[in-house]
Amino acid sequence: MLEIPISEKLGRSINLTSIYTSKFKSNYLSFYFIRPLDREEVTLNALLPMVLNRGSQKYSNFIAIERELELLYGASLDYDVYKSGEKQIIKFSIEWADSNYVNETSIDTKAIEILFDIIFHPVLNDGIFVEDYVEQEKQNLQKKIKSRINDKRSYAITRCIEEMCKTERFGIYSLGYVEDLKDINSENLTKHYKKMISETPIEVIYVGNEKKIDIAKYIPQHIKNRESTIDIQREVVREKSQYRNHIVERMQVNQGKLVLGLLTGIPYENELFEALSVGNVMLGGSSNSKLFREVREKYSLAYYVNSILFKHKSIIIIDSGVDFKNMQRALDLINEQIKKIKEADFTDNELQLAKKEITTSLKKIEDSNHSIASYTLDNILTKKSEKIEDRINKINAVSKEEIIKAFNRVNLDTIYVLTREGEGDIDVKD
Amino acid sequence: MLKIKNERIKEEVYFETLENGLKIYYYPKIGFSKKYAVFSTGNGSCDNKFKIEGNDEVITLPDGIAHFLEHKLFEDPEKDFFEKFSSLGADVNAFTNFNQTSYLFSTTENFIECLLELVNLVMEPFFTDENVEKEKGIIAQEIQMYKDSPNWKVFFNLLDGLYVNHPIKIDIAGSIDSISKINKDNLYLAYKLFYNPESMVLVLVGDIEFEKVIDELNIEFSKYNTEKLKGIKIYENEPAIINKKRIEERMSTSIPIFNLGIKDINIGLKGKDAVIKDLTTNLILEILFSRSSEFYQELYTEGLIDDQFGAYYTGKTDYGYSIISGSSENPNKVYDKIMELFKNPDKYLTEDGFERIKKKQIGQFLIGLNSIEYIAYAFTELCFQDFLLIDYLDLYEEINFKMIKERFNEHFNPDRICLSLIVPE
Repeated sequence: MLEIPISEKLGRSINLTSIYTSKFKSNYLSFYFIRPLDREEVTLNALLPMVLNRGSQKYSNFIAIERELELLYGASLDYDVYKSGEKQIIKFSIEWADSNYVNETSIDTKAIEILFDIIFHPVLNDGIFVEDYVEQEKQNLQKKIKSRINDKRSYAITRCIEEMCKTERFGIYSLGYVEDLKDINSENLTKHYKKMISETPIEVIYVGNEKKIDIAKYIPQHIKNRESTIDIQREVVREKSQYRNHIVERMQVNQGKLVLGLLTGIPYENELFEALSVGNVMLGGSSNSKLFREVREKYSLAYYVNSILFKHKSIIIIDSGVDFKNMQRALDLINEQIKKIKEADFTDNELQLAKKEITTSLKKIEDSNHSIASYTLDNILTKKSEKIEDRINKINAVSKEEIIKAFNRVNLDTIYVLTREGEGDIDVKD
Repeated sequence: MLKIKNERIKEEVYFETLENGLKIYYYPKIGFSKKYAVFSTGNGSCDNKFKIEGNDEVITLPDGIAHFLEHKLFEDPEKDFFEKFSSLGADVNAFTNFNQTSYLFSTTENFIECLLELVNLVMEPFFTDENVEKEKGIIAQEIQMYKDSPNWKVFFNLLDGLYVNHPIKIDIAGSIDSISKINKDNLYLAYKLFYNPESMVLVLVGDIEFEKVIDELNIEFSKYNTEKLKGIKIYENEPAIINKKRIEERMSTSIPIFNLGIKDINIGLKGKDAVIKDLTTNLILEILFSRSSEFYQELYTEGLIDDQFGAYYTGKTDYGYSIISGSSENPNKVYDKIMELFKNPDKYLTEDGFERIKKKQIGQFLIGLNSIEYIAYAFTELCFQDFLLIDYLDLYEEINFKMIKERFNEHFNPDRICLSLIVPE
């Protein structure tokens, strides 16, 4: 069992949570800016960590940063931009080897210094970001955004979400938009950065064995003394589909992709949410699921078919790669499986297997410092302080009736099909 | 039981050979809730031609049969293995690569029961005409999925460019055409050739009662007395030259993707020598092409590469290659720059870089030991190369800059370089 996380309020909307454990041979420190997912600033937010990662006042270019990291026994400094519900998370992290194994205690403080140096002390030219860095990273971001089409599976999923939530924040692509880039320059990006550090809620999470380090000390005083910060709204959860979206896209591909977007109307605060999670796994969250057994094993239509529940937005996405000629058959089979759960056509064994699937993956969180940090952040974002054991107990307490009740709220909203020129589409029937 | 300890990283490994010849390694990770078992045979997609002992006839198996076999071993007349493992609280999975097929599970409870199920899964094949036919549809979709992946295509095109005869150039899953030739009979034949406990390895990682496990395994294995064939693998004669200098293909991608490959001809090594060669080559690639290199900085600031750029070496006894990969609007220019670098490496291949990268790799190896999955996979892979994972770090002490330079001169030969490109339609 893990030690209980220790939370410390360092200032207004800035908290440090430490989870001490001697299980790992490394320390993991992560830092999160939590912004609303917003069409106006999504591209700026995606670009920001790329520019910050180019250099700090102490290490003016990335060679200097990388070489310092190498001397710290391959400490890895990382950033990420992603969406969690309708929030855009800008994450920075550093992981470094436990100093006891490399006999150099100074690496702890140096690693922490680098992380905060990158975030709070960027290299500037006349008070703004280095223009070359901004221009180059704009190019790189453009490439990243465009490369979304390279992985057809994730492309199809993000496209389905985009169409399904067209008028909502959740439909915004987390890395932003190519057309925004032309208006971004060093000046307005710097301005945005200053606004960001002055008003954005910040979470810092440490997982490791080093109790002596005073992490708070490395965070600039003016950040700890902020007077006003923004409030982040909770996601809107839609209940009923207004009209059926049916999107067909054609590309030169060998395999078709069929993606369904479903509304559940059950927010994570709702007492039926655990039942929804169990029902979703029973539907398509494991190799014992109805989808896997019917679509893949029984009818050999697909290699993969999955059902994913997006917790913060309470939608379900079902995705599958199938041959063009089998699209309709796969769609019918998927709809049939959803119906079965609604109509109580599942066994107690299926229910137990789904619960087991979830509780097992919950138990495994404790074996990875990265997973511990994500679980901790998720608790913070959902304003809970739920221990893993408590969550396991809740899952185990879910009844058959609750699942039926929860699934009867599930309704199909969007069908997205990726197919090839000249190949068939599907009939949409209710 | 043999106990092997590495004092430096404070890790130890237990070793036992079962009555049937199976080698078992136990790598304790005390305090972890997750436990992991990987049961592997050293046969993969490259193992496709054999002679049977005492018979001159050459048996050629259809491409993709090792992978097909991996799917089909999950078949059982009475039970559903996925369900069985899930009910025990475990995740079961399997994978096939060029020279290995592995079956694995991770669990937080019922470890011994799961392990016995895994043994049962692997040791008791059950193929029927019907279940073999049914699998073809699923695997066909797996093949089609990979065909749409530019990263997969650019890699296999490269292998086709580097190799003339070696079966590594064949897709692991085979093709829709080759899997149509797979049937119950050739699956049983392949099974008898590939799944012989004497040439298999079982790796266990986590907090486990090892002695109890051994006793249980001896009992379990005594139940299986299936007929085995002693196969002699036939190696294709692979010349030192490459097949093609350049391969280009169009796909629906956003930007050109490149894989530049270098064929290794210093092959035939085993054990420590092979691992040192591997380490040395990867050190060189990191010194030259990682984010801390001058070369990376130059190309990055010119906008020729982005942070996806990188390089690695991999090799086994009968093959090896280095790959430098990335995406670029101007891959030909990147290619020219790399070729220039190979001609004049002195500015980039420095002793200072060597010392830094060495430190980095030591630290990253230690961080890797956090992960039970990493240990299980890396341990198994090194096992088939006759090397113990816990001794890995010690090898860094043996590598000096002179060896780096020698290996550079030997391996980075412009005549053995192929460029594979995927360009947007």
